Amino acid sequence: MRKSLIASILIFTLFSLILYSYHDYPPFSWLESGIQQVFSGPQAALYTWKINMLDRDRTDISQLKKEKREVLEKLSDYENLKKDNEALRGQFETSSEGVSSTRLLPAVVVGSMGRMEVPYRLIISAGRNQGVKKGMTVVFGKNLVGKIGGTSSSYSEVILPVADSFSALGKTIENNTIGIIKGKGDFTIFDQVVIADTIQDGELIVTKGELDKDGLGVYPGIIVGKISSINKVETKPFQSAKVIPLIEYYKLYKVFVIMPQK
Amino acid sequence: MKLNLFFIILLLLMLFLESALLSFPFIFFWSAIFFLMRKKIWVILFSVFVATALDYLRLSVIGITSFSLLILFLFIIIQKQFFEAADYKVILAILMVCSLVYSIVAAYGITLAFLLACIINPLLAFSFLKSYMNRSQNR
Repeated sequence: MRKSLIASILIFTLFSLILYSYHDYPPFSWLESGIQQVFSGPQAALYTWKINMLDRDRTDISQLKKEKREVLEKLSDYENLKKDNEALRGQFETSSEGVSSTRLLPAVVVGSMGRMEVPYRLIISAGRNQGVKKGMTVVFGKNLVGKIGGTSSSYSEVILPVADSFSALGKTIENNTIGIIKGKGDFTIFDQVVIADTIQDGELIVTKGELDKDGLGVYPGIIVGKISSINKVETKPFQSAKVIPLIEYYKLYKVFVIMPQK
Repeated sequence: MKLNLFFIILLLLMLFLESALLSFPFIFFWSAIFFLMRKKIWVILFSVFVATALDYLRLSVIGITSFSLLILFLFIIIQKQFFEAADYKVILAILMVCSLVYSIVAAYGITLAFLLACIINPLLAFSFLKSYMNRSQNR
Protein backbone atom coordinates (compact mmCIF):
# COMPACT_ATOMS: atom_id res chain seq x y z
CA MET A 1 0.00 0.00 0.00
CA ARG A 2 2.78 2.37 1.03
CA LYS A 3 4.70 1.65 -2.18
CA SER A 4 1.65 2.22 -4.37
CA LEU A 5 0.98 5.53 -2.55
CA ILE A 6 4.55 6.70 -3.12
CA ALA A 7 4.35 5.62 -6.77
CA SER A 8 1.09 7.53 -7.33
CA ILE A 9 2.50 10.62 -5.57
CA LEU A 10 5.49 10.52 -7.93
CA ILE A 11 3.20 10.12 -10.96
CA PHE A 12 1.06 13.10 -9.86
CA THR A 13 4.21 15.13 -9.19
CA LEU A 14 5.25 14.46 -12.77
CA PHE A 15 1.76 15.54 -13.86
CA SER A 16 2.16 18.81 -11.89
CA LEU A 17 5.46 19.48 -13.61
CA ILE A 18 3.90 18.79 -17.04
CA LEU A 19 1.01 21.10 -16.10
CA TYR A 20 3.48 23.81 -15.09
CA SER A 21 5.39 23.51 -18.37
CA TYR A 22 2.46 23.15 -20.80
CA HIS A 23 -0.44 25.01 -19.12
CA ASP A 24 -0.83 27.34 -22.11
CA TYR A 25 -1.44 24.45 -24.53
CA PRO A 26 -4.58 22.32 -25.07
CA PRO A 27 -6.02 20.36 -23.30
CA PHE A 28 -4.74 22.24 -20.21
CA SER A 29 -5.85 25.62 -21.61
CA TRP A 30 -9.36 24.18 -22.15
CA LEU A 31 -9.37 22.93 -18.56
CA GLU A 32 -8.30 26.41 -17.38
CA SER A 33 -10.99 28.13 -19.42
CA GLY A 34 -13.67 25.65 -18.27
CA ILE A 35 -12.83 25.94 -14.56
CA GLN A 36 -12.68 29.74 -14.70
CA GLN A 37 -15.98 30.05 -16.55
CA VAL A 38 -17.76 27.66 -14.17
CA PHE A 39 -16.44 29.33 -11.02
CA SER A 40 -16.53 33.01 -12.08
CA GLY A 41 -20.24 33.51 -11.26
CA PRO A 42 -20.21 32.09 -7.71
CA GLN A 43 -16.80 33.69 -7.04
CA ALA A 44 -18.08 37.14 -8.08
CA ALA A 45 -21.20 36.69 -5.92
CA LEU A 46 -19.08 35.71 -2.90
CA TYR A 47 -16.71 38.62 -3.46
CA THR A 48 -19.59 41.12 -3.70
CA TRP A 49 -21.04 39.64 -0.50
CA LYS A 50 -17.66 40.20 1.20
CA ILE A 51 -17.60 43.85 0.08
CA ASN A 52 -21.13 44.39 1.40
CA MET A 53 -20.24 42.78 4.73
CA LEU A 54 -17.14 44.95 5.14
CA ASP A 55 -19.02 48.09 4.14
CA ARG A 56 -22.24 47.45 6.11
CA ASP A 57 -21.52 49.71 9.07
CA ARG A 58 -19.83 52.45 7.16
CA THR A 59 -22.53 53.74 4.85
CA ASP A 60 -22.31 57.38 5.95
CA ILE A 61 -18.53 57.49 5.71
CA SER A 62 -18.69 55.78 2.31
CA GLN A 63 -21.21 58.36 1.09
CA LEU A 64 -18.97 61.22 2.22
CA LYS A 65 -15.93 59.61 0.61
CA LYS A 66 -17.88 59.12 -2.61
CA GLU A 67 -18.91 62.78 -2.67
CA LYS A 68 -15.34 63.86 -1.94
CA ARG A 69 -14.09 61.67 -4.77
CA GLU A 70 -16.61 63.21 -7.16
CA VAL A 71 -15.51 66.73 -6.20
CA LEU A 72 -11.86 65.83 -6.73
CA GLU A 73 -12.68 64.21 -10.07
CA LYS A 74 -14.43 67.41 -11.13
CA LEU A 75 -11.37 69.37 -10.04
CA SER A 76 -9.24 67.10 -12.20
CA ASP A 77 -11.63 67.65 -15.14
CA TYR A 78 -11.44 71.39 -14.58
CA GLU A 79 -7.62 71.33 -14.63
CA ASN A 80 -7.66 69.25 -17.83
CA LEU A 81 -10.15 71.62 -19.45
CA LYS A 82 -7.95 74.55 -18.53
CA LYS A 83 -4.98 72.86 -20.21
CA ASP A 84 -7.11 71.97 -23.24
CA ASN A 85 -8.15 75.60 -23.57
CA GLU A 86 -4.56 76.76 -23.36
CA ALA A 87 -3.57 74.26 -26.03
CA LEU A 88 -6.51 75.32 -28.22
CA ARG A 89 -5.56 78.92 -27.96
CA GLY A 90 -1.95 78.21 -28.85
CA GLN A 91 -2.22 75.50 -31.48
CA PHE A 92 -5.91 75.38 -32.50
CA GLU A 93 -6.15 71.74 -31.61
CA THR A 94 -7.31 69.83 -28.53
CA SER A 95 -5.15 67.95 -26.10
CA SER A 96 -4.78 64.23 -26.82
CA GLU A 97 -4.63 63.47 -23.10
CA GLY A 98 -7.22 61.07 -21.69
CA VAL A 99 -8.75 57.85 -22.84
CA SER A 100 -10.89 59.17 -25.69
CA SER A 101 -9.33 57.00 -28.43
CA THR A 102 -10.00 53.79 -26.54
CA ARG A 103 -12.83 51.55 -25.45
CA LEU A 104 -13.48 50.31 -21.94
CA LEU A 105 -13.99 46.62 -21.21
CA PRO A 106 -16.04 46.05 -18.04
CA ALA A 107 -14.83 43.24 -15.78
CA VAL A 108 -16.13 41.84 -12.52
CA VAL A 109 -13.74 41.43 -9.58
CA VAL A 110 -13.76 37.79 -8.45
CA GLY A 111 -10.98 37.75 -5.88
CA SER A 112 -8.14 39.60 -4.23
CA MET A 113 -4.77 38.92 -2.66
CA GLY A 114 -3.29 40.43 0.45
CA ARG A 115 -4.95 41.77 3.57
CA MET A 116 -8.73 41.99 3.39
CA GLU A 117 -8.87 45.81 3.50
CA VAL A 118 -5.53 46.45 1.80
CA PRO A 119 -5.30 44.06 -1.16
CA TYR A 120 -2.31 44.37 -3.45
CA ARG A 121 -3.78 42.38 -6.33
CA LEU A 122 -7.26 41.92 -7.76
CA ILE A 123 -8.44 39.07 -9.94
CA ILE A 124 -10.94 40.07 -12.62
CA SER A 125 -13.15 37.99 -14.88
CA ALA A 126 -11.69 39.10 -18.20
CA GLY A 127 -8.75 37.40 -19.81
CA ARG A 128 -7.03 36.58 -23.07
CA ASN A 129 -10.34 35.44 -24.58
CA GLN A 130 -11.68 38.99 -24.14
CA GLY A 131 -8.51 40.56 -25.57
CA VAL A 132 -6.89 41.58 -22.28
CA LYS A 133 -3.10 41.83 -22.42
CA LYS A 134 -0.34 42.31 -19.88
CA GLY A 135 0.40 45.98 -19.19
CA MET A 136 -3.09 47.34 -19.94
CA THR A 137 -4.50 50.02 -17.64
CA VAL A 138 -7.44 49.27 -15.36
CA VAL A 139 -9.63 52.13 -14.15
CA PHE A 140 -12.73 52.86 -12.11
CA GLY A 141 -14.29 56.12 -13.21
CA LYS A 142 -11.36 58.50 -13.63
CA ASN A 143 -9.29 56.66 -11.03
CA LEU A 144 -6.42 54.29 -11.60
CA VAL A 145 -7.05 50.78 -10.27
CA GLY A 146 -3.83 49.29 -11.57
CA LYS A 147 -2.05 47.53 -14.38
CA ILE A 148 -2.71 44.07 -15.80
CA GLY A 149 0.08 41.92 -14.38
CA GLY A 150 -0.81 38.61 -15.95
CA THR A 151 -3.56 36.98 -17.97
CA SER A 152 -5.11 33.56 -18.38
CA SER A 153 -7.99 32.35 -20.58
CA SER A 154 -10.83 34.07 -18.70
CA TYR A 155 -9.15 35.76 -15.73
CA SER A 156 -6.51 38.48 -15.32
CA GLU A 157 -4.64 39.86 -12.36
CA VAL A 158 -4.56 43.58 -11.67
CA ILE A 159 -1.48 44.89 -9.87
CA LEU A 160 -2.72 47.69 -7.63
CA PRO A 161 -0.69 50.89 -7.06
CA VAL A 162 0.01 49.77 -3.46
CA ALA A 163 1.78 46.57 -4.62
CA ASP A 164 5.57 46.45 -4.31
CA SER A 165 5.83 45.51 -7.99
CA PHE A 166 3.85 48.54 -9.19
CA SER A 167 5.66 51.44 -10.81
CA ALA A 168 4.44 54.14 -13.21
CA LEU A 169 5.27 57.69 -14.21
CA GLY A 170 3.12 60.34 -12.57
CA LYS A 171 2.74 64.09 -12.33
CA THR A 172 1.01 66.60 -10.12
CA ILE A 173 -2.02 68.17 -11.71
CA GLU A 174 -1.31 71.78 -10.76
CA ASN A 175 2.45 72.16 -11.23
CA ASN A 176 3.12 69.27 -13.64
CA THR A 177 5.85 68.04 -11.31
CA ILE A 178 7.05 64.67 -12.51
CA GLY A 179 7.83 61.67 -10.31
CA ILE A 180 7.49 57.91 -10.09
CA ILE A 181 4.41 56.30 -8.56
CA LYS A 182 5.55 53.29 -6.55
CA GLY A 183 3.80 50.75 -4.37
CA LYS A 184 5.10 50.10 -0.88
CA GLY A 185 2.94 47.16 0.17
CA ASP A 186 0.36 49.09 2.19
CA PHE A 187 0.42 52.48 0.48
CA THR A 188 1.63 54.36 -2.59
CA ILE A 189 4.36 56.96 -2.83
CA PHE A 190 5.19 59.64 -5.37
CA ASP A 191 8.94 59.18 -5.48
CA GLN A 192 12.03 60.53 -7.24
CA VAL A 193 10.70 64.09 -7.36
CA VAL A 194 13.52 66.59 -7.89
CA ILE A 195 14.03 68.59 -4.69
CA ALA A 196 13.68 71.92 -6.53
CA ASP A 197 10.23 70.97 -7.88
CA THR A 198 7.04 71.96 -6.06
CA ILE A 199 4.66 69.46 -4.52
CA GLN A 200 1.93 70.40 -2.06
CA ASP A 201 -0.17 68.62 0.50
CA GLY A 202 -3.56 67.67 -0.95
CA GLU A 203 -2.40 68.00 -4.55
CA LEU A 204 -3.78 65.47 -7.03
CA ILE A 205 -1.43 63.03 -8.73
CA VAL A 206 -2.29 61.74 -12.19
CA THR A 207 -0.51 59.32 -14.49
CA LYS A 208 1.88 60.86 -17.00
CA GLY A 209 1.35 58.09 -19.53
CA GLU A 210 3.66 55.41 -20.85
CA LEU A 211 2.22 53.82 -23.97
CA ASP A 212 4.03 51.61 -26.44
CA LYS A 213 3.36 51.54 -30.19
CA ASP A 214 0.46 49.07 -29.72
CA GLY A 215 -1.26 51.38 -27.24
CA LEU A 216 -0.39 49.14 -24.28
CA GLY A 217 0.71 50.65 -21.00
CA VAL A 218 -0.52 53.28 -18.58
CA TYR A 219 -2.75 55.97 -20.09
CA PRO A 220 -2.17 59.63 -19.19
CA GLY A 221 -4.39 61.80 -17.02
CA ILE A 222 -5.81 59.05 -14.76
CA ILE A 223 -6.12 60.01 -11.10
CA VAL A 224 -3.86 58.02 -8.76
CA GLY A 225 -4.69 59.88 -5.54
CA LYS A 226 -3.83 62.95 -3.54
CA ILE A 227 -0.73 63.81 -1.58
CA SER A 228 -1.16 63.31 2.15
CA SER A 229 2.38 63.92 3.45
CA ILE A 230 5.68 65.06 1.99
CA ASN A 231 9.13 63.73 2.83
CA LYS A 232 11.60 66.47 1.94
CA VAL A 233 15.19 66.76 3.16
CA GLU A 234 17.00 69.78 1.70
CA THR A 235 20.35 67.98 1.55
CA LYS A 236 18.98 65.14 -0.60
CA PRO A 237 18.50 65.39 -4.37
CA PHE A 238 14.97 63.94 -4.37
CA GLN A 239 11.82 64.28 -2.32
CA SER A 240 8.87 61.91 -2.03
CA ALA A 241 5.24 62.06 -0.93
CA LYS A 242 2.69 59.60 0.37
CA VAL A 243 -0.33 59.29 -1.93
CA ILE A 244 -3.81 58.37 -0.74
CA PRO A 245 -6.08 56.91 -3.44
CA LEU A 246 -9.56 58.39 -3.87
CA ILE A 247 -11.04 54.92 -4.17
CA GLU A 248 -10.86 51.99 -1.77
CA TYR A 249 -9.58 49.06 -3.76
CA TYR A 250 -11.16 46.39 -1.57
CA LYS A 251 -14.63 47.84 -2.29
CA LEU A 252 -14.37 47.53 -6.05
CA TYR A 253 -16.57 44.88 -7.59
CA LYS A 254 -16.50 46.13 -11.16
CA VAL A 255 -13.58 47.74 -12.97
CA PHE A 256 -12.80 48.73 -16.57
CA VAL A 257 -9.85 47.68 -18.68
CA ILE A 258 -8.72 50.31 -21.20
CA MET A 259 -8.50 48.58 -24.57
CA PRO A 260 -6.63 50.39 -27.32
CA GLN A 261 -8.74 51.08 -30.41
CA LYS A 262 -7.40 49.42 -33.56
CA MET B 1 -18.16 7.12 3.81
CA LYS B 2 -19.67 10.11 5.65
CA LEU B 3 -16.19 11.43 6.40
CA ASN B 4 -15.20 11.15 2.73
CA LEU B 5 -18.27 13.13 1.67
CA PHE B 6 -17.64 15.67 4.43
CA PHE B 7 -14.10 16.28 3.20
CA ILE B 8 -15.08 16.46 -0.46
CA ILE B 9 -17.70 19.13 0.31
CA LEU B 10 -15.33 20.90 2.71
CA LEU B 11 -12.54 21.10 0.12
CA LEU B 12 -14.94 22.41 -2.56
CA LEU B 13 -16.20 25.06 -0.12
CA MET B 14 -12.61 25.95 0.77
CA LEU B 15 -11.93 26.38 -2.95
CA PHE B 16 -14.55 29.15 -3.11
CA LEU B 17 -13.48 30.61 0.22
CA GLU B 18 -9.80 30.76 -0.66
CA SER B 19 -10.25 32.03 -4.21
CA ALA B 20 -12.83 34.75 -3.44
CA LEU B 21 -12.86 35.65 0.26
CA LEU B 22 -9.76 34.90 2.29
CA SER B 23 -6.15 34.80 1.25
CA PHE B 24 -5.15 31.81 3.35
CA PRO B 25 -3.97 28.28 2.36
CA PHE B 26 -7.09 26.38 3.52
CA ILE B 27 -6.91 23.86 0.67
CA PHE B 28 -3.32 23.03 1.56
CA PHE B 29 -4.15 22.41 5.24
CA TRP B 30 -7.35 20.48 4.80
CA SER B 31 -6.09 18.31 1.94
CA ALA B 32 -3.21 17.27 4.21
CA ILE B 33 -5.63 16.47 7.04
CA PHE B 34 -7.81 14.52 4.61
CA PHE B 35 -4.77 12.54 3.46
CA LEU B 36 -3.74 11.85 7.06
CA MET B 37 -7.15 10.35 7.70
CA ARG B 38 -7.54 8.49 4.42
CA LYS B 39 -4.30 7.42 2.81
CA LYS B 40 -5.89 6.46 -0.50
CA ILE B 41 -4.95 7.12 -4.12
CA TRP B 42 -8.29 8.75 -4.92
CA VAL B 43 -7.67 11.26 -2.10
CA ILE B 44 -4.39 12.24 -3.80
CA LEU B 45 -6.21 12.52 -7.15
CA PHE B 46 -8.99 14.67 -5.68
CA SER B 47 -6.50 16.89 -3.82
CA VAL B 48 -4.48 17.41 -7.00
CA PHE B 49 -7.66 18.37 -8.88
CA VAL B 50 -8.76 20.89 -6.21
CA ALA B 51 -5.21 22.29 -5.95
CA THR B 52 -5.01 22.73 -9.74
CA ALA B 53 -8.43 24.42 -9.80
CA LEU B 54 -7.20 26.77 -7.06
CA ASP B 55 -4.15 27.72 -9.11
CA TYR B 56 -6.40 28.52 -12.08
CA LEU B 57 -8.74 30.63 -9.93
CA ARG B 58 -6.03 32.47 -7.98
CA LEU B 59 -3.84 32.91 -11.08
CA SER B 60 -0.92 31.42 -9.19
CA VAL B 61 1.91 29.62 -10.92
CA ILE B 62 0.01 26.66 -12.40
CA GLY B 63 0.89 23.43 -10.61
CA ILE B 64 2.53 25.06 -7.57
CA THR B 65 -0.22 24.06 -5.10
CA SER B 66 -0.49 20.46 -6.30
CA PHE B 67 3.30 20.14 -6.38
CA SER B 68 3.68 21.51 -2.83
CA LEU B 69 0.85 19.30 -1.61
CA LEU B 70 2.40 16.18 -3.12
CA ILE B 71 5.72 16.96 -1.47
CA LEU B 72 3.86 17.29 1.85
CA PHE B 73 2.09 13.95 1.26
CA LEU B 74 5.46 12.37 0.59
CA PHE B 75 6.84 13.83 3.85
CA ILE B 76 3.82 12.47 5.72
CA ILE B 77 4.41 8.96 4.37
CA ILE B 78 8.19 9.03 4.81
CA GLN B 79 8.19 10.46 8.35
CA LYS B 80 6.75 7.16 9.66
CA GLN B 81 10.12 5.56 8.97
CA PHE B 82 11.85 7.94 11.34
CA PHE B 83 9.25 8.68 14.01
CA GLU B 84 6.51 6.88 15.92
CA ALA B 85 3.47 6.05 13.78
CA ALA B 86 1.11 8.37 15.65
CA ASP B 87 3.53 11.17 16.51
CA TYR B 88 1.18 14.06 15.81
CA LYS B 89 3.63 16.68 17.01
CA VAL B 90 6.03 15.81 14.19
CA ILE B 91 3.22 15.87 11.61
CA LEU B 92 1.97 19.16 13.05
CA ALA B 93 5.45 20.67 12.78
CA ILE B 94 5.82 19.40 9.19
CA LEU B 95 2.39 20.81 8.30
CA MET B 96 3.16 24.23 9.81
CA VAL B 97 6.57 24.55 8.16
CA CYS B 98 5.33 23.28 4.77
CA SER B 99 2.30 25.59 4.79
CA LEU B 100 4.47 28.58 5.65
CA VAL B 101 6.93 27.76 2.87
CA TYR B 102 4.02 27.22 0.45
CA SER B 103 2.44 30.56 1.53
CA ILE B 104 5.68 32.38 0.76
CA VAL B 105 6.19 30.61 -2.59
CA ALA B 106 2.55 31.08 -3.66
CA ALA B 107 2.62 34.81 -2.63
CA TYR B 108 -0.14 34.78 -0.02
CA GLY B 109 1.13 37.99 1.62
CA ILE B 110 2.44 37.10 5.08
CA THR B 111 1.19 39.26 7.95
CA LEU B 112 1.06 38.80 11.73
CA ALA B 113 -2.59 37.73 11.55
CA PHE B 114 -1.64 35.28 8.81
CA LEU B 115 1.13 33.76 10.96
CA LEU B 116 -1.26 33.43 13.90
CA ALA B 117 -3.79 31.71 11.65
CA CYS B 118 -0.98 29.44 10.41
CA ILE B 119 -0.56 28.21 13.99
CA ILE B 120 -4.22 28.15 15.04
CA ASN B 121 -5.60 26.47 11.91
CA PRO B 122 -3.39 23.33 12.09
CA LEU B 123 -4.02 23.09 15.85
CA LEU B 124 -7.78 23.12 15.23
CA ALA B 125 -7.42 20.66 12.39
CA PHE B 126 -5.29 18.43 14.56
CA SER B 127 -7.67 18.42 17.51
CA PHE B 128 -10.32 17.33 14.99
CA LEU B 129 -7.99 14.65 13.62
CA LYS B 130 -7.02 13.39 17.07
CA SER B 131 -10.58 13.11 18.31
CA TYR B 132 -11.48 11.24 15.12
CA MET B 133 -8.53 8.84 15.57
CA ASN B 134 -9.39 8.22 19.23
CA ARG B 135 -12.99 7.50 18.33
CA SER B 136 -12.03 5.09 15.56
CA GLN B 137 -9.57 3.29 17.91
CA ASN B 138 -12.25 2.93 20.60
CA ARG B 139 -14.67 1.30 18.18
